[in-house]
Amino acid sequence: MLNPYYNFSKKSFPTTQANSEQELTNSFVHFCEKMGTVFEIKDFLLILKAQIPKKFKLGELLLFYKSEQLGLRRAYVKNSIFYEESAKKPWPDVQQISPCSTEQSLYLAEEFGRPFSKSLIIPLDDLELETPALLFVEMSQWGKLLESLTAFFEKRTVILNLIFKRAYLNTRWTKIPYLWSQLFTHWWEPLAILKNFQAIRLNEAFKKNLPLSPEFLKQKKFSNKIETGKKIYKPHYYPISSFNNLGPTGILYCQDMTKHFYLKEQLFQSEKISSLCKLGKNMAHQLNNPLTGVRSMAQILCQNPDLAGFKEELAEVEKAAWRSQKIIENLLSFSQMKGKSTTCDLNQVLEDTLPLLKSMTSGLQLKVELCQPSVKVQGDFAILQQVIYNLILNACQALKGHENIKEPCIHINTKQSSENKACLQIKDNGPGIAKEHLEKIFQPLWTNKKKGQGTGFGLGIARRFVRKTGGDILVSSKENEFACFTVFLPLSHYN
Amino acid sequence: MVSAEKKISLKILVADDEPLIRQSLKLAGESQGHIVQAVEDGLQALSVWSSFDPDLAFIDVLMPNVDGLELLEKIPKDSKAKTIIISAHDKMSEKDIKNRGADLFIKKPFSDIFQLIEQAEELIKKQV
Repeated sequence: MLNPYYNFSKKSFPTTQANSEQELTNSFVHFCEKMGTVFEIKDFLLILKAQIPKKFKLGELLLFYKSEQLGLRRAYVKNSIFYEESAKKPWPDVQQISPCSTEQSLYLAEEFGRPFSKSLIIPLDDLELETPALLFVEMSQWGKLLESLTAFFEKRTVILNLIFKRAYLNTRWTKIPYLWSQLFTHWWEPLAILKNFQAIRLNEAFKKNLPLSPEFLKQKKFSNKIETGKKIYKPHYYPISSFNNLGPTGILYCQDMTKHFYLKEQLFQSEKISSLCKLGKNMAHQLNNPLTGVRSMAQILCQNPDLAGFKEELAEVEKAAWRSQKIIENLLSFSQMKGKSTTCDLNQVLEDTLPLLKSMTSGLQLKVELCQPSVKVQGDFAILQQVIYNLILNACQALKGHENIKEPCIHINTKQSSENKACLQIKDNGPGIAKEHLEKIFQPLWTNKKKGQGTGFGLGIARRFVRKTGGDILVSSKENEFACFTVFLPLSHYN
Repeated sequence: MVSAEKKISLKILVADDEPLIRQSLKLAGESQGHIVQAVEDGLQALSVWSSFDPDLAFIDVLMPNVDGLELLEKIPKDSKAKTIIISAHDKMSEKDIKNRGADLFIKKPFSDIFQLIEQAEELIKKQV
């Protein structure tokens, strides 16, 4: 194969030869320094390759050695990438640095399945192993370069043998502690080695997730959990018996319990809801009976001519009992998640709900803009009514709790928002919702209302129902300005 | 409320442990010209059944002592009374109740007490 740089190399070679002795020494020292950083076989080949002057125009570096655990190995660097695999056959015995013979080239060809024409063989036999290791340096040309390369390696035989010995032994003996240290460093949960209550080593997860003060480590007993805002850890301290009197030594392992706590919390919440549902169902049945009685009695008394003066009041009693029954009915549907999806007139739902909130909306400005013609949506009338009731009640409570709002106002409008969705918007000019509470407000049992004012059920129920019909409730807010709930509902197919 | 065609006066027995419902049914029935006797549970209902000999009975399911379903079984065989079961029991269907011998099933909560009396009258009229 013709090398286009042949002439150039030949010409430049004498220049190198003319290098001063000082320079040669420098390059040798540099070589030793670099090779001194070699820790394992991989580095041995990678660093060595980088240390061989470019002018030699080397091909691959191939290393054959016998590993006690893995048997015959061949390692090589190709395009700066290190490969190590099992060798197929034992390699020929070579005593000194020499160019590859035909027989030896054939061995390489059989091993790698490609021709090898020119190589220099460097035996690494300092370990007095049964099968000495061999280093093949593939060259692109013979001639003077071969001599020069031979000289290069002869000069470095001792150091090469030494470094290979170290890499070999390191690979053999230090692989395990090295793996342990890697395991420690990269373990995904925080680990620390403590000596006399001071951290002498922290792993990456510890450094990244637990910015702990030295005071924290000094405490004799670790608390039940460590909360960092994002994560929750459970610390475990394992003492290690120390052989000197430097004080107690041990490993602090912080178990990541975030998911566990989160799931536990969720389970607790869902258990709370399910028992509340059961309780609610029971109570609903118990309440329904007397309420039916109250309603019936009010109906009868309404007909009594002697009580004609109280007719309106009695009608109110009847209505109140009816509304209570409706609430119970909704509670029952919530606990069973039933409710029939039918076609409902959105404006009608709103018009029927507003009178129920008469007492709550008194003193507030109510601006209602209903789209004309009204839109028909898919859903259960009573449930939609409850959703709207909850949202308006919520707005009322937000406004009433803050007397410094000059003109408390609730703005309600309905419209068709897209091809298949209608929307209802309820906006109040109350204190708004803090950014960090925006998602929480839909969580069951979460409330920031005064004790007794909210159960923490309203918004959660509302969204659950709406989502069940294929809609959604979105919230937007600016603190001290407004809170706006938008209910999207699927349009009825029979619109 | 009293229509011109309504002339029959019925003997109605009401068995319900909820005092307001019991009282309402009694008043509503009486306002329509019927004779109503109201009792608190199935046991009391049985004790007055033969002597009162009702044309119709409103029976609640959940009652102390003898409940509505038990009462249905124990009604004297020779009684002419039509029975109306009023219940909030959501596990029971109308078919269930009728299989047990009741003539009508009204689900609680009901919305209009006078409608109940009307339904009762209808039931008797059908028989006539």
